Amino acid sequence: MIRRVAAATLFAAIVAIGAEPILMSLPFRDRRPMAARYAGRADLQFRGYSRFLADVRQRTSRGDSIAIMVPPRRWEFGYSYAYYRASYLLTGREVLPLVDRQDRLVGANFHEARYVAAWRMQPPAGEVVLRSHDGVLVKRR
Amino acid sequence: MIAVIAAIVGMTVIGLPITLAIDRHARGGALVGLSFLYGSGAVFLAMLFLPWNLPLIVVALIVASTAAWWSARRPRRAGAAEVPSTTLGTGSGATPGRWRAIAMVADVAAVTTLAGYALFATLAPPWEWDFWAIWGLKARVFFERGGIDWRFLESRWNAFAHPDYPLLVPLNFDFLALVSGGWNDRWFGILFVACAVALVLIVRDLAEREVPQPFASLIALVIAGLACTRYVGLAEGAFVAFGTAAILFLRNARFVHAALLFGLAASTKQEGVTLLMAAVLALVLAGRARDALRLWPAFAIAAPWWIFALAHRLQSDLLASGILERAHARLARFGDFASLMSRWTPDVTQEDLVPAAILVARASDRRREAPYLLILVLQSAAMVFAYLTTPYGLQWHIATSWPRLARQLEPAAAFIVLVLLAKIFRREEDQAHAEARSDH
Repeated sequence: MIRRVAAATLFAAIVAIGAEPILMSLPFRDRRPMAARYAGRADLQFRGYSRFLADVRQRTSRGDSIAIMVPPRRWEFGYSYAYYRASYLLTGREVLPLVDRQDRLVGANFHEARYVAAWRMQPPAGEVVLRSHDGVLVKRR
Repeated sequence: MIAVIAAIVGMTVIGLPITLAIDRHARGGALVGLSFLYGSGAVFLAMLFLPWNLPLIVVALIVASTAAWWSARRPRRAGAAEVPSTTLGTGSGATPGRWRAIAMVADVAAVTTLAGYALFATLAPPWEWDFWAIWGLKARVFFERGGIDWRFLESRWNAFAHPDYPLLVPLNFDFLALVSGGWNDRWFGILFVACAVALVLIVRDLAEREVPQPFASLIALVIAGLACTRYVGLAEGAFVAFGTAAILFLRNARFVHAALLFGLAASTKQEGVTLLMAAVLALVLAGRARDALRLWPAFAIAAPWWIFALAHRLQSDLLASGILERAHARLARFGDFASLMSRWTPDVTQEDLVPAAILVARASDRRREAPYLLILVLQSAAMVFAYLTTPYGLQWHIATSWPRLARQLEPAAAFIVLVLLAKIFRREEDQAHAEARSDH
């Protein structure tokens, strides 16, 4: 009898904790605010950056190499985000970082890249191909 | 959206004869769930080996599916087919009206959970960092290239994308993109809804074979909550579906399903590889080495990617030199390590209930479940080992991955303990009967 009471209590507790009231309520809620929040989540860190990259994508071709220049100089504190985001939005191009995981500047990538995409930074010398959403795309070679 | 749904329905149709070829007794929810999972696996293998030309891929899938259909229709010698085990006892017997009502409420709640998840997963394009830095990134690079881009995977600048990770999910994304006629990640979340639905259908079917209503429906409700991973766009949802289903079919002595699903889990995430190893080791430790050997198809499915990864020198970042030194240093401060793990462990209340439920269960049932619980313990140990040896900052690595990884085992653990608890309510004669059969 004690075993049955304990089992019933535990079974009920696991069911109660395991059920997902938030998901169950979603079909009956206004989801627009939530959708707006999630839609912008990937770009929360640097607002406008993804729109700049979308324009960079339009102005460059498959196989072009593009170095990413953004204000953060530390990998874990902003640079990795900018680099990863650019890698996704500029697929087909070769996206090159100017900072490595140890926060060292990678000068070779700066010199090798055909383009430099500088966002909220003073752009390097070269032919300005695009100005958009606080960013400048410069053709170096 | 329509193209993505059509692709997922197509994957399920492709998987249907494959499921029946393996298990001609499969029916209802389990048949549909398994068909989607095998369809997803078939798409992965086709995309891994064939040129990325949609008509060619579709024809290859149809040929494979037709061959499976032909095989399923052939007369078979007795015992050759996957037959559901009856040694665990069943939930047979008339269900009183009030229990039927509870079961119905639980089923409606499970369906509502899955409907809510469908809305959640498609609120927006996948928003998780790891989608656009790992899983979605690779899929998009490959899609633009028209095949697996080994140069991208080999580049040292792309090490962040974990080039060694298996490709089932990225190649499934690419199949959706091929069917859609272009890259549009807006509706990729539907893939993970399909994984959750597949797992819940399988769980409900397996639970119904073992425990009476309303327990089976209540178990399916709990698994619905756990299968709906919040990490939309990552491989978690697919891994949870393949891995959990593999463990559940293994405990039901349906080795072909178990082996194929373990193989697909190992083709989805690196944790799938450790899960396969954990299953083999647990069976060997339980004195069931012959059953462990029956899992060989899992290795056959996972091996091609291992060979590709080896040939292209795609190494895991966790294997960076100095593993022993790092483990030694962290073991010397094990208290700090344990408190960090404990701090980031999710769903603590739920996880505390698991050992309590095991203690309450009947000893005979507990013994029967021991190998499968051991799989979960070994898999957890593998994860702890990975943290002890990680080349990354411990705090960062645990905080950013443990809350996600710890949830991978929850559906299998929940299923096992809920069945253990439900069996306490089995009628005494059923219990004696089941135990007598399991002794044969």
